[in-house]
Amino acid sequence: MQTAKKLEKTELDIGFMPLTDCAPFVVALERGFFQRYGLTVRLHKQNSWSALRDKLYEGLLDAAHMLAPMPLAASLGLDGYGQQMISPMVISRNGNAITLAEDLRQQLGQDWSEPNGLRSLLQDLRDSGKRLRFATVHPYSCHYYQLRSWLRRCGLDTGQVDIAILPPADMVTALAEGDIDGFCVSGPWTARAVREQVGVTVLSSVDIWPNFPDKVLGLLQSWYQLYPNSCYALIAALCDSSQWLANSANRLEAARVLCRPEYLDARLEVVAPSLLWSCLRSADSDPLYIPELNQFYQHDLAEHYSPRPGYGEFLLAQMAEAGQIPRAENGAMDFTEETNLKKIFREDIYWCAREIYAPC
Amino acid sequence: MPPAPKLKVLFVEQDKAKADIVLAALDAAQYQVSHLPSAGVSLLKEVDKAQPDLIIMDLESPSRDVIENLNLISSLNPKPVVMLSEQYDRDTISTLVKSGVSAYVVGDVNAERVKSVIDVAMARFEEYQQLKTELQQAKQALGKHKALDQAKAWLMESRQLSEREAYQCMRKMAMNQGKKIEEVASDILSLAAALDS
Repeated sequence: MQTAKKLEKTELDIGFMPLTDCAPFVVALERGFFQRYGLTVRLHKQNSWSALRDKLYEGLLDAAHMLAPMPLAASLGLDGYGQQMISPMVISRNGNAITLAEDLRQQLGQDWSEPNGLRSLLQDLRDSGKRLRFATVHPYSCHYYQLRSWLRRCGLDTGQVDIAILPPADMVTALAEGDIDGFCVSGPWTARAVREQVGVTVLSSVDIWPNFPDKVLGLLQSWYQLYPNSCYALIAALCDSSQWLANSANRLEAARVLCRPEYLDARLEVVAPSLLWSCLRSADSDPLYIPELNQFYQHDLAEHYSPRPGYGEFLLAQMAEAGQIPRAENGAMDFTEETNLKKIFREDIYWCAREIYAPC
Repeated sequence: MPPAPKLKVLFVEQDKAKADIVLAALDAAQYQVSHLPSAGVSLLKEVDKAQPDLIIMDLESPSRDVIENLNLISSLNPKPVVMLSEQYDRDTISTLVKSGVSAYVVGDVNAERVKSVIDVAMARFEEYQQLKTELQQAKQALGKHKALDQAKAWLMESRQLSEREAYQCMRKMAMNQGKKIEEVASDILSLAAALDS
């Protein structure tokens, strides 16, 4: 049985993107969970995933709120650096949604949320020669792969549509101005599009890949080697804050804090719904109650946070489908054999932290 | 001799005061500058329309992901990028160079400094692109050989041919069908996969 050892580093700089699912980091700071484990943390809001990653590489950040495929992409060298990045913990699941332009909803008529109607409209538009244009936030994101997965499900070849990468903050404007027909993003941007009546949310990521990790804790392998005990303490603190986020009373408090300028700088009416398991769909219809939305914790399921290498295998298949990594002639992926996913998705580190801080 | 064409520079900056400093440092005689105060879709449109030779933006710009996608993923039309940073020193952001960012300006922005950084950026970018192309060609060549070798091996095993006979057989097929030998090899491999399964 391992016990807590002296932390090698107690002052940590952690990067996050201003999205609803950064809640476990914000809560850990605001409710003193980092301190409980001997950590003094400064949170640094970032404007782009690329900058967040670069700062990790440079040691300007110790750890970060990251898109689940990013540590894998980094370790494969797809981002041009090729440094070993690891993910020792899952942060959030079920936080993305696909939102379509108001114009498409009008063409869909009364039953706009009905999947078959949507499917045939998209196919009709394609057949009439319209090139549909979607947007998402980063090429190595579940958002991107989920969007592709949904388009395929609608019978659209992903080569027949355009998928642009845009900053989340520009999505709603792009939708309102007709530059894009839809997007796949995390909260609060889906809720914002609905509140501003520029789009309707047709499905959440629960309908695409239920319970797949959206965001993870990301850090450099070399950082972990230097500061293993600090890493375990960090994981324990984030487990505590995720557990704190289990009930709606606490979630409403978290939403209030997240609205502050130093975090999401957004209104409660767009931050609170998804945290309270309410998926806004359109201004004139009832929201959907989806209890899996913005999942940070599952009761009595320590496994929930574990970054299983199997997630990596699934992501590799998505990357190959998207043409981001080569596919060998026989259809198998070139990367699987040479990539030891266990070295990227470090469930061993997570379980080690659990063992040290048993009740977390 | 006609003057060299001006370098087309796309400059993305929201903050007007910061933008003015950089704009003043970009010599109008050398650069044809278009300034975009906002990013998002307008950035993609501008890149598409103006086909800039170089993009200048702040390290902290929300459009970083847009540009990175352009450079690393779409590989359609990568552009050299000069990244500005007020906050970090030269050593600190040195690794940025590796991610397709070709150079950077730190702190004081003046005309001389900007010119030299742009020159370096353009040169590095060309180098990087050339390396990338060479790497791709090498990979393709390797892939071709791999298919050829595999097809040869399959013929040798299944038809009890010598290596020479297997190769000649494929060459003959290629000539008869008017195909490249690599294409014949991949045909054989798909056939092999179907028969062996």
